[in-house]
Amino acid sequence: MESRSRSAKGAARAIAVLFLPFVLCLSSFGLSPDRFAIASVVGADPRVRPYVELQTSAAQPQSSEIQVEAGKRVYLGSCSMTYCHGAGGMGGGGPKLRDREFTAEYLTHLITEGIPGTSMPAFKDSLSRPQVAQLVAYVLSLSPKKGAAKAKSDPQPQDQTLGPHLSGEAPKTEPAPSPASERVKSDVAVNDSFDIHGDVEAGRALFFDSAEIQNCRVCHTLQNRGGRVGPDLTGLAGKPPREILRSIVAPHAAIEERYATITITTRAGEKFTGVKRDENETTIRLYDTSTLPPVSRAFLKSDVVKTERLNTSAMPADYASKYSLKQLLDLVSFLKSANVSLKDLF
Amino acid sequence: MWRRIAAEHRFRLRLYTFISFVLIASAASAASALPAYAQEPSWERLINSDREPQNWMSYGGNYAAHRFSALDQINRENVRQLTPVWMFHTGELQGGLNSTPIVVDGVMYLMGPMNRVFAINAATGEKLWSYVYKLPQMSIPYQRGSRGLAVAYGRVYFGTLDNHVVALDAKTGSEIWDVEVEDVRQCGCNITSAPLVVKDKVIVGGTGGEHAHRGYLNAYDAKTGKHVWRFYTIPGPGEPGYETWSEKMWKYGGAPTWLVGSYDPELNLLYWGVGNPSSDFYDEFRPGDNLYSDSIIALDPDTGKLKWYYQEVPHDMYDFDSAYECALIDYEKDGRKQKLLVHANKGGMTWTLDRATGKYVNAWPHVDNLTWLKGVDKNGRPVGMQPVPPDKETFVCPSAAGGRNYGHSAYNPRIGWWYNIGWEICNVIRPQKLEVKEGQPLFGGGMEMKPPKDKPAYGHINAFDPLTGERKWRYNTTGINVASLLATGGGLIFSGDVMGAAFALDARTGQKLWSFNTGAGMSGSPISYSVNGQQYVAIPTGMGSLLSGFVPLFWPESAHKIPEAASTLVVFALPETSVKGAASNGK
Repeated sequence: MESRSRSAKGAARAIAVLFLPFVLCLSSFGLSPDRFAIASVVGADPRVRPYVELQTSAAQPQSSEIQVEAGKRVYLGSCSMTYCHGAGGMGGGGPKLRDREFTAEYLTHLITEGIPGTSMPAFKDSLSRPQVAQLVAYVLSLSPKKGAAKAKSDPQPQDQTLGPHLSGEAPKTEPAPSPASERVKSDVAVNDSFDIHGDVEAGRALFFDSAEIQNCRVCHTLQNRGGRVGPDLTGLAGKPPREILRSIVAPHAAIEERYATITITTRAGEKFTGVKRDENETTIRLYDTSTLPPVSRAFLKSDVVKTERLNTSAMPADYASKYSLKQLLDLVSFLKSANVSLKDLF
Repeated sequence: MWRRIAAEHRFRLRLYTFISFVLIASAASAASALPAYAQEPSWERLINSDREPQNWMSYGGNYAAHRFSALDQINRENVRQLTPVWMFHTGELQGGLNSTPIVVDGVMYLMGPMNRVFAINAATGEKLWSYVYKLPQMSIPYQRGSRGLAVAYGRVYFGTLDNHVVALDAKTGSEIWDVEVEDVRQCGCNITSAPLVVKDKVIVGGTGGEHAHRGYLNAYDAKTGKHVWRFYTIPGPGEPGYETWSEKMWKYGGAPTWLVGSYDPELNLLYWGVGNPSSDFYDEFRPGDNLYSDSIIALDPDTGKLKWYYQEVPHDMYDFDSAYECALIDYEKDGRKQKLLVHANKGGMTWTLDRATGKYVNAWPHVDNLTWLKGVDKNGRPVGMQPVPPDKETFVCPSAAGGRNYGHSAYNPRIGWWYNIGWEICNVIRPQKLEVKEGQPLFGGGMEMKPPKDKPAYGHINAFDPLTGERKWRYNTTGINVASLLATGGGLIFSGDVMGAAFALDARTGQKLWSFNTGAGMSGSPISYSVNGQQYVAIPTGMGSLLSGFVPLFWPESAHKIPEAASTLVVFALPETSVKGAASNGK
C-alpha cells in the first residue's frame, strides 16, 4: 500500500516537474528568431563562430542595446553576487570583468562549460543559449573600447584567446540536442498510459532523489552524477530491459571483475568487505559497503594479512522486495531513458 | 567514552611513543624536542578544554565558542614587544588562509586552502606531515579556502570542497576513511567549515544557501565513518514546519549549515546556526516563515532529533544567515544565573536566548545602519520588515555580506564581555524571478554594495554586555574586519585587518596596543597556545575569502593586499629575554 501511494505521489510530482520546463520551453520558443540565430552559431562548434556574426549577419530582431540590456538582467541574477563577480563586473570575490580583453567565443565557452577547479560553474544547464549570448553581450559591454574592438577586428584564431585552463584538449563537439524537444517527448509519453509503462521521471527520482539518504546515486554514476563505488550505469541504456531488471534484483548473477566484492583481513584481525577503490605501493583502499553510504577505508598493505575475492555482489540483494514492481519499472525506464512497459520485462 | 585507538595503529603508536620518550630523554633541553604525537585528545579532555590553556583543541577554542585563551604571559604591559617567531606557508594562494589552527600537546594541525592539511611543530614551525586531498576536476561551489578541521582520538577530521568527510591518522597524516556526503555535482553544496566532534560522532555542516538544495546537518561515527544521522534543516512532508514552505521549494530551499556549532555537555544539546533560504532575494515561490532557515536549532547530538528552534529572520529576503557561532555564556548578575546563547545574525542584530529552552531573552543591534526591520516584538520576532519587491531596486542595510560575516566573536569570561565585529555597508537588492533546478545557483536576483546613506562605509569592533547589549567600547577598524577575534587572559583582543596589520586591543578599553604589518589582508581566525612555557599567538594571513572582492570598492588602498596575496600563518611570541623565569603558563 505504502509503496503504491508513494509511486502515485512520485508520478504526480513527476508530472508537475515535467510540466514546468515544458511551459518554460514554450516560452523560450517565443524568442525563436533570436534562438535560431544563436543555435546555428553555437551548435557548430563549442568555441562558436565570432560573436560579430551574430551582431551583423544574423537576422537581428534585437538590437545590440536590447541584447546588452537583457544580458544585464541575466548577469544580475546569475553573476552579480558579491561572492561572484559583483555588480557591474567589479567588487566581487571572483575575477573582475570590467576593462578586460575578452572575446565572445572565450566568454561563451567559459560561461557554458565553467572552469573546473575554480568556483566558476558551468551554466549550460541553467541558462538557455539566448541567455548566454545576452550575457556575453553584456559582459563585453563592460569593456567598452578594447572588448568591442577586439571582438570585431579579430575573426578568430581559436586557442590564442582561450585562457590557460581551456587551452588543453578541446571539448568534444556535441551539437547539443534541443532540450526542449526531449522534454516534450517524455512529457507526452508519461501521459500515455502510466499504469503499464514505467515512468522515466519517477525512476529518476528513485535514482537521484536527494530527500532519500540511500539510493542508487550513492554508489552509481549516471550521466556524470553519482558515486563511483559501483559501475557507471550510463551505458545501460543500450541493454535490453530484462537484463537491466535482472542486474537490479539479482546483482550476484553477473559481476564485473572491476567491481568484485573482496574481504580484507587486517593484522589486528578486523575484517572489512566491499569493493576495491584503488591501490598504490603501500596502501589499498576499499569502499566498505557494509554501510550506506559506503565508506572508503585506507589500509597499509603491511597491515593486511589476507585479501579474498567473494562470489557475491557488493550491491544489496533486496531490491526485489524493497521496491514495488512499478518502481522497478520506473527505474528501468529511467536507465533506458525510455518508458518501458511490463511486457518488455517478462 | 570512546578512547580506543584503531587496533591496526596500536603497534605503531607504541613505537612512536617509545621513540618520543627516548628523544625527549636524550635532548639536553626539552625546548625543541620532537613533540609527543597526539594519540589524543579524548572526549574528556575536549569537553574540559578550559583546563588546558596551553592547547587550542577545538574550532571555537572550547565547545562554547568563546575563542578565549586563558594564557596571560602576553598581556597589556608587554604586548608591544611581541615579535614574529615563525611562519608557515601553505603553498596554495588560491583561497588564502581562512582557518582556525588546532593545537594539541605541541602539535599544530592546520587546514590550508584546496583541502591541504598540515601537522606542524607548534614551537618551531617545522612541518611534520602534509596531506593533499585530491579534488576531482570540477567547478568548486563557494570558496576554495576552508575554515578548519577537528582533532580527536588520534585523528584529524575535515570536510572537503567536493563534499566528502575524511579522517586522517593524526600521527602520520595517512588517510583512514573517506565518505561522500552527497555528490557535489548534484547538490551544488560542499564543506568549507570545520566538523565538530561530539562524543563518538563527527558532526559536519555544509554550504548550499545559494543553490537549489535542501540543507542538512550530518553525523558520522568518528571511528568508522558510518553515517549515523541526518537532520534536514527544511522539514519534509508530514513534519512540523513543512507548512512554512511551498510544495515547490521545500526540496530546494537552501537553509545550509555552513559554519560550526556549539555543545553544552550539561544539557546535552548541540546548537547549530542555519543559513538563509534559497533563493536569496526572490521570495514569491516560498511563502511562509521557511523554517528552519535563519534559525538556531538545538539537537540531541546522539539522535539528531530537534529539541527546540528559534527563528531570527522569518521569511528572509536579504540573505541574512543565522549560520554564525553560538556563544554559550553563563551570565550572572545580582545573584541571578542565566544560561544564555548569544548569537550575532548576519542582519546586524544579536539575539540572546535561554539555551535550555530556546526562549527569547533579548535582541539588540550590533551595527548602526539597519533598515530591514523596525524592531522586535515580545518574542523577539522582527516587526516592520522591509519589503523587497521583485524587479525593483531596494536599498537595504546591512548588506547581504552582513553586519559582519563569519569572522567570529570572542568572549572573555573573566571580564564578562562579549566582543563582536560590525560592518557598516548597505546594498541595493533587486530580486528577479528564476527557474529552480536542483544543484544550480539560486540567488534570485542580485545586489550592489553601497555605503550607508550620507556617509562612507566603515567598520568596528565592540565590547558588549552579552545580555543587555550595552556597549562598553568601540574600536574603529581599518576597513572592515573579516578575520575573527581572539580574547586572552592577558586582557587582550587579537585580530588582523584587511590591509595586513595583525593587531592587539586592550580588552577593557578597546585601545590599540600593538600592530604588525604582515603584508597580506586577513580572513582567518587567530588562536593562542603555549609550548614549554612560551605563549604563542598564531594569526592566519591571506584573504582568499569570497568576501574580499568588494573591500577595495570602499577602501581602494587595500586592492593590492587582497584577494590572494598570501596563505601564511604568522606566529608571534615575546622575545626570550622577557619570558625567562615567567614560564608559569601551560606545561
